[in-house]
Formats: sequence, C-alpha cells, structure tokens
Amino acid sequence: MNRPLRRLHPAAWWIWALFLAAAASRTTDVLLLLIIIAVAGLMVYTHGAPGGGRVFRIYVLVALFVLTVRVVFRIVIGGGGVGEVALNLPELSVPDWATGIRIGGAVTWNEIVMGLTDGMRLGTLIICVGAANALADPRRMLRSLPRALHSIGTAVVVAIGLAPQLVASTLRIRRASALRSVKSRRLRLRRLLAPVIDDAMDRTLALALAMETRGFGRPLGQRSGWVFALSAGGMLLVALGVFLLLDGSAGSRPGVLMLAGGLVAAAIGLRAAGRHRSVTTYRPEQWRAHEWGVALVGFGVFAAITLIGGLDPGSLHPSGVPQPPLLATLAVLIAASPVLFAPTGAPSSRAARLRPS
Amino acid sequence: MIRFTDYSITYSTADIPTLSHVDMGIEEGHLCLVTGPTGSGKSTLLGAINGLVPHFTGGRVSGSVVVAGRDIRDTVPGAMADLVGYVGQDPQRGFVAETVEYELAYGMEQAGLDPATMRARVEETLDIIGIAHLRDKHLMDLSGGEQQRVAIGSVLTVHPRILVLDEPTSALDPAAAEDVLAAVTRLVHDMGLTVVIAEHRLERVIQHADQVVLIERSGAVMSGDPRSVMESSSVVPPVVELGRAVGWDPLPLTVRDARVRARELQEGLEAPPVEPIVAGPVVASAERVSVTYGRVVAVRDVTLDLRRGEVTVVMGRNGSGKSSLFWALQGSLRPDSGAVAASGTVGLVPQTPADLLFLGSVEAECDQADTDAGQDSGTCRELLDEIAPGIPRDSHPRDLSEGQRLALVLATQLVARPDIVLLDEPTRGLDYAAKESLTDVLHRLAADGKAVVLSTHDVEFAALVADRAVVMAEGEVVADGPVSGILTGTPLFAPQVARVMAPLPLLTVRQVEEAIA
Amino acid sequence: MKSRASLLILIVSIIGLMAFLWPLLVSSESALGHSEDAPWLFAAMLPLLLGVVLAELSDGILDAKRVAMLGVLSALGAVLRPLGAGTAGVELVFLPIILGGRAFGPGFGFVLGSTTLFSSALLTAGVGPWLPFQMLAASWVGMGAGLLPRRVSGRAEIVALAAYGAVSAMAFGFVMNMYFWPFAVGMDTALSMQAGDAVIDNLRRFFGYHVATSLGWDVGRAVTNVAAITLVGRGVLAALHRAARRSAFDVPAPEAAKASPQPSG
Repeated sequence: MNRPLRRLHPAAWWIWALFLAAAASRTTDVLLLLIIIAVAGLMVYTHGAPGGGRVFRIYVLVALFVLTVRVVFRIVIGGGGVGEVALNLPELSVPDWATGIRIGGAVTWNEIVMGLTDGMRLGTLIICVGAANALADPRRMLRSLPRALHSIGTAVVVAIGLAPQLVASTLRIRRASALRSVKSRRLRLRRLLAPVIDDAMDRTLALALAMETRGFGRPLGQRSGWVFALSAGGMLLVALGVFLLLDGSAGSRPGVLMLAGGLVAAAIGLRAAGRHRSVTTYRPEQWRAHEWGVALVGFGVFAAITLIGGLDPGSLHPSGVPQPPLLATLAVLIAASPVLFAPTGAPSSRAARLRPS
Repeated sequence: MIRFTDYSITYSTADIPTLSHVDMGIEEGHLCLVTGPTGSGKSTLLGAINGLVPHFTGGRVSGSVVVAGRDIRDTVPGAMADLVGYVGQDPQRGFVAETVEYELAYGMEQAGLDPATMRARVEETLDIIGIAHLRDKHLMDLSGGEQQRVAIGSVLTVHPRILVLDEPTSALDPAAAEDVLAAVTRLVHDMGLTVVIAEHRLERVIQHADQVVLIERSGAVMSGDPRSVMESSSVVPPVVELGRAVGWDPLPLTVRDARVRARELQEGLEAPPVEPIVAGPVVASAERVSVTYGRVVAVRDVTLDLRRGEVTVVMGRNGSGKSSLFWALQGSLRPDSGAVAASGTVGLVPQTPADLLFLGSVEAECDQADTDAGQDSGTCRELLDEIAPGIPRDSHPRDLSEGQRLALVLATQLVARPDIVLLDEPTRGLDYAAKESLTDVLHRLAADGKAVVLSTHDVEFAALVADRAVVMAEGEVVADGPVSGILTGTPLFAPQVARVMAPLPLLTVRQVEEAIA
Repeated sequence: MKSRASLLILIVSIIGLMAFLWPLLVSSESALGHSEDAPWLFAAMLPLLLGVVLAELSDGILDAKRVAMLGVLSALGAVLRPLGAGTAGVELVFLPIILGGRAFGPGFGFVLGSTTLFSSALLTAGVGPWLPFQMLAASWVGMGAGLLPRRVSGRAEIVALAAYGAVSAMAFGFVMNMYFWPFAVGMDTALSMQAGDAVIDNLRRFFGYHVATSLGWDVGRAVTNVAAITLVGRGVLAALHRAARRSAFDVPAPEAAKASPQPSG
C-alpha cells in the first residue's frame, strides 16, 4: 500500500493505544494479554518515534516492577488462598490495634497465580500507555492543544527548552564560583544558588519581552458567558456522575450517562473557550483517513472484546489452564493492522539505501 | 514615520528622567543609528518605539510617540508587532521554540495567519536573511551570529515596516557582525524597511547610517545626519577622532573617506620605531596544553608564556578556545595533556561577571571579598573606586550596568593581589569612555608588575591596551607577537586607524599624533 | 472573573478528591467497587477537566511575563526533580511550586503545579496514567501556598512556608499512595480496600500499606522541603519579588493609563 511520508497525528496513536489498553482490562487470559503486549511491541518497532524504543523499555520495566510488587504483596500478606501450598513463610501476627493482619504464613500456588495474572493485566495496561508514548512523542501534542490552552502550552514549551540551558548555566556558575573562595558553608550554598536564580529571573524578563514584541498578548475579543456556563455545567454533571457511580445504589446507568454528558459538555466548552483568541498553528497536525483508520481499529478491538466478554465471559476469564480464545485473538490481531497502512514519517531504510545518490 | 514629540520618561526606580524632552523624527526607509554613553537611555528610546516603554517596563511618560499613525500611549507591544519588529540584546534568551523554522513561525502564529501564508513567509524570510541552510537546526546549536539572524528573521515574518535592533553585534566576532549588518542593510536597501539600531561600536555601523541620534548622559537628545552629529559628539569612532585630531573637513566617516585624505598626511611621516616589548620574568607558562570536552577539542597543543608587566590580548573567532585556555591557566580546568605552571596567584574575570556575584549589595560583596582574601576591610572598596568611581554602596549588583559589574568583579579578584589577571571578553557592553578607563586600569596593573591577559573581539580596544597579541583559531595559537605587527598583519584584525594609515604601522590616534609631532 | 476560576477549581477539586479517595468512598453496590477500573477512568477524565480549569485560569491571569515566569519556574522544578531521585524522598520539585505560589498567588500556584509536573514528565519518561493525578496534587500544593495569609512576612513567613512544605509533602504522599494502593495490593488481600466498608476500616488497611511503602519517602520529602525552604526560601522569594518589580508585573492597561492625568516632565 502506498504510504504517505508524513507522521500520523499523535492523538490517533494515543486513541489506538488507549483502546488497546481498555481491551486488555476486560480480560485475565494471560495468553491473550501476551498477544496484546506483542502487538504493542510490534507497533513500536515499526512505527515508533525516534527515541521511542528507549521510552518503551522504561515502561516495560515499570510494568515488571508493578507485577513484582503485586506478587510480593500477595505472598507476604496473602488473603486466604485455597489449594496446594507453595511456600511456607514464617508467620508474624500484627496486633489488632495496628491492622490485625497476618504477615507470612502459608502461600498457595493459587495465590501466586492470581497475583501473576492480576499483575500481568496491570502490566499490559501500563505497556500500552508506554506504546502510546513511544509512538507519538507527547511533546508533539503540545502543538495540538486546544486554543484556550495556548498560553499554558507556551509555558510548557518554554520550560522544556529552558531546562537544559539552566543545567548548562548552573555548571558554568559552579565553575565560576571557584574564583571566590568562601569559608562559610551557608554562604557557599548561596554563592551557587543566587546567581542561578538571578540568571533564571533575567531569562524570564528577556523571554517575556521577546514574546510580547512578537505579538503575544494582543488585546483579545470578548469572552462569552455561555461558554463558561457550558464548561462549569459540564463539570458539575461530571461530579454528580462520579458521585452516583461511586454510590451505585441506582445502578451504573445514571452515573455513566451524567458522566458522559458532562464530559462532552466540558469538551465543547473547552473548544469554544479558545474562539476569542486569534492564534493559529504553523504546520498543524492533520487528521485524515489514515488517522480515522487507526483510531477506528483501536475502537473496534475494544468493542469486539467487550462484546465477546458480554456474550461469553468464560473465554476471557479462564479459571484453569488458559487457552487462547479464538475470536478474541483474531480481534487483537486486527489491532495490529496499522502496521500495514499507517504512515511512518520516514522512508524505509531499504528505500534509502537504493536511492541514487 | 516615527515621531517623538516633547517626550520624557522617568522610571519608578529613578529620580531623574531617563529621556527628557525628546523631539525628533525618523524618516521612512532610513537606517538610524542610536548611540550614547552607557546608561544614557538608548534602550529606553528603542523600547519607546514599539511600546515596551512604558507598557512593559513601567514608568511615567509625558509627551507622545507616534509610529506610523499609532500613538504608543494606547497601544501595547503585542499590538505593535505587525508594525515594529524588535530584537533585544540577547536573542538567545528570547527564543520560544526548538528549531529555526518554528521560531520564525511564532510571530505569525500570534498574528493569526493561516498555515499556507505562514509556510510561504517562512521560506521567503529564510532566503532574505540568508539562513535557508539552517532551517531544521536546533536553535541552541547555532553560533551567535546565526542566532542573531534567526532572531531578526523571526520578527520579520509578519512584514513589519520598522525594525528595531538593540546592540545586535555586541557579542559577535567581526565576521559574524559583518554578516548580520549585511543582512540588515540589505533589508533597508532592497525592502525599504526603516531600521533603528543602538550600538556602542560606531565603527561597525556608521558608514551605513542615514541618521544618527545621540543621547547624552543628561537625557538630552541630538539628532541629525551622521557627519554633523559626529562633529560635536562625545562618542566617536576612531576614524572620526582621527579626523578631528588632524583637522580634516568635512569629517570622514569611513575608512575609505579617510584614506584619500591620509595620503597627503603620510608624506612626511615616518614609521615610528618598533619598540620591543619590555617585560619582566615569566610568571606562568602553558606547555603543550590541550583541553577536550568529550570529542570536541577546545585547546590544541598550546604553548604560551606570560610575563610580568605585559598586557597580552588573545583574539580569535568565537569558539576558538580562548575561554578554555583561560580556565586552564587559572587552574580550575585540568588540561587533558600538557601542564600549566604558575609561580603566582591567578585572578580571572569570566565572560559573565555576574556569575560571581551572589550578595545583595555592592558593599556586601566588597566586604565578603575582603574577608575571604584576609585583607583589611575597605580594600576592595578602594580598588572598586579606582576602577569605576561613583557606584552607590547599597545598589544591588544586578542593577548595575555591564561596566560597573565588570569593575566590581575585577575588584573582588584584585583584592587577593594576584600576580596574573585574566579577563575574558571584558569589553561587551562597554562604551568608549568605559573602555578608556579600563585601559588605564589594566596599564596600571601591568606597571605594578602583574601579567595581564584579556580576550576580546574589539580590535580598537586591543590596539589601545595591549603590548602583545596572540591569535587563536580552532584551538591552536596561530600568531604571537608585538601587537602592532599582528594587528596590521591582517585586514580582519586591523583597527580603523591602521587601515587608514596603512602601510605605516600606526594603530591609534595617539600614535598618529605622536608621529606628526 | 476571578470567581469563575475559583468555582471551577472548587468543582475539579471535589472531583479530584473523589478520584483520589475512591477506595474509601465507593459503596459495595457500585460497579467500580470490585474492579480496578476506577483509577483508569479517572485518569482519562482528569486531563479534560484540568484543561478546562487551566484554560479559565490562563485567560484571567496569564500575560507574557507570567507565562515566562511559569516556564522558567517549571523548568527549575523539572531540573530539580531528578536530583536525588533514588535517595529516599529527596524531592526538590516542590520548592519552586511552593515559593512561586506564595509569590504570585493561588491561581498562579495552581497552574504552576500542573505545568511543572507536565514539563517534568515530557522531559523524562513520558506521560503515564499517574500523571493527571500528580498534576492535580501538585496544583493543590501550589494553590495552597498562595492561600497562606498574605500579611505574614520576614522570618514568620519562612516558618509558615516551611511548615506548609512539611504538611503538603505528607499530604501529597498520602493521596498519591492512595492512588497506587489498588494497583499494588489488588482487591483481595488483607490490606486491600473493601468496597462499602466503613471509612475508618479502609483507612486502617490503607495505613498498614502506607507505613510499609511510601511513608518513609514522605517523611524524607517533608524534611527536604523544610530544609530547602529554610535555607533558600528567603533569597528565592526576594529574587521573585525583584523580578516582578523590575518588569512592572502589574502595569495598568492602556485604558487605565488614559484615565489617569498625565504628569508633566
């Protein structure tokens, strides 16, 4: 398939990855989870942004860490497992006034497996978020922020660019501080910090001046009241919805409906809040057919898994030895289809090698 | 185009007005040079053109400034951005984006232009300024001259009619300064922009100027065509100083003008005898010193001797290794090969003197310096008053001018009575008067038996102050000898007087005067 | 206008408290009570809600100087964060947030908390599901610093800020650990939450977990805050105030200038 040379809109990758994560949360089948992880890894391998591999590895480590924590807590503080005993740890009884729990004691295989399964699911979710980071550098999303958040976005862009400079000037100041020997310990701290802070403050002024002279802070149009009402009302609805969900006495539906409605209202309010600003974006990220494709694939997988889970829960939550559920596996493999059609933003290395110089 | 009418401004932190009763205009399509002693209000005048003064800085204003029909009193800088492009003193600190392309686009984004127009304008600006090859580069990887040009480009994308530049070449070596000024003059001549430049180093800009505005320390402003202003100005480039000393009329403004006159002067002048450098014993020596940062070789195999009583100037492009060599000589930086041997103590004034100041008042800094060096209280204060008299004791070091800060840091370094004094780029931001007093200070230090070494781009200053010149390039010493020989040897390093009086090896106006007498 | 922002902050804080404390608040009939979905649901919601609040705040208070100050202080925080990572609880990232909030007000402090954590995330490992929670909690810390009584100054101010630093460190640790609690122990160990139980029972279980895990870190964070604020708070605040003065942070808009009489030369 003919793939364009541009980069996919970052939000498309995030939507794909988050739906994949949502699908993973619907199952405890270890094999299925492994397939999901494989799909995520494959996508990172073929379409990852520069430096994405490193980021993905960090998230894999985090996932392993969470998995380990989970299993360790299970083993140490287990909660009444049944079946064959795997380990027998020395038992410690914590007195009632502390928490009244039992540390150690007998640990069953069942408990360990449950810990692994739960941890595995959690790890998969984390790895999917890691894949999102690896596929679309979140920094790129700064350019796609809603207009109302333009100032905040600018502050973050400034902060990212400034951080290495601050490190450099701190090193420079530390070297210079050797030129004035100071006996008192307290003053030595000040000798290093005061120029750093003063330098940072000077930069603030210079930055603000440069921003203003380039047009930042032009007088804005009028802000309308209905936009605020929409945002505030939406948030109130969300608050109510969350409350109802946590309460649960009337079932989930009212809570979910209020929540969804409130979020939509808030989103519209946020979008509309930027209308009175006249800031535009240079080289805006484009949302075209490929983006729809990737996003819908992600949504489709989630919908399919949810459907399968609704119709045949046992296939997604095996109690004995797990077997790969056929339909679900197919659905997850479809999630990998963007490998074939999503733009990568860089010519393939083979093509580069074959190019006449 | 720009009209000041009885304009005065007083900052809230000051008692006297910075500018008083300014009444002048700048015509469309002119290149106007704004000059005057340090602290005289050049930046204020420039800031008044696009509204930074008073909307950004505060201050009480009377009178009016009207720019292309817009009254500054009612217009904030953000709203002036489509008419006036302003580039401040340190463009590196004003960058908002990561790469050149996005930096150029920032102003247009604020103006709300559509993406297609932005793309087109980015391309055309890259070509106009001559930085098309830098499009994807990270801003922090660029050289000083390139950064300056990117900063100029970034304000041009919204097609302003006026360009205001505050000391655009002060931190640049001569070649980079040439690039920037060439781009600016191209803007004036080819695109009809009105350009207002504030500059200390008149010799770089005055030949391009259509109008000169001189701001005296009192806040009074004199404006007119370059020649008439230079006739009575207190700040003048060496060529004009020579013309005034010799009595040429009309005053030459450029080396070219002066050379024609100089031919008559040269007949009957004989070259002064080349005096060998009289210097004392060697007090420090670098023996095949190399300094590397990772893969970058900053100093390559340098051998150098420093003698008592000798003032040495080290010259070279930015990045040629001067700073690293100084740190190696001072002792903080251990060379990767070779050795530095110093039989005396070393004091260093780094490129950013403010890095050494960390207390809340000049008095506190001086007292601290006295305590740390084990000297009597008041020693530093005396030294400071010798170098730069008149600094109030309770002023905050960050509120001082560049020259005053330099003086303060130099005083703190001198308290310990070092045998070797190193100064890294001390002339940034100094006006002619401050440079002269620094020259006196350095000569006095040399007379005291110290070895003085400084690095600078300012060839005029080098001609005034130094006995010996060392030229560095790519980390190596390329030339080392008496200053008159080195500075007259290449056109790049020749001061104006030398270029006028070539082939006679005369570097300063004083030398010419002595030769005539 | 300021009241608009305050209203939104109030609502998002209520939602945020529910998002952090859901293990204590969820009832046994709730759909969220027996699965670990709740934190993910909240993590997906919070960015939008925070965005709405930040947008409202930025409209009111953010001019070029404040945006620049936000950027610089966030950069300072982001640079400070990896320093001492690994050493138990030495987390200096709150220093610029607390001092910035104190110097420039609660609205600024709220925004600063979010931008600092966000910038820090972008500079290091990336955006994880914990980030919206961290941003909200840091925003609370910044806002709280701005809400401390204005009239306190001098040594008393530093003492108050140091005390606030200790309290906010413990509180931050508490809520972030409550966030991580279901992830670490799941739903069915002796230290896990039990939906529907009395708050005090769930709290007891949580404290068992809390002591074993993050409490040491939190104490370390509290000590770091106190030490840092005591040592450098005075100087940093002075520098911030000086910068605000030098650039005339509160220069009146042109309309106001027209109204006041023009002083003569």
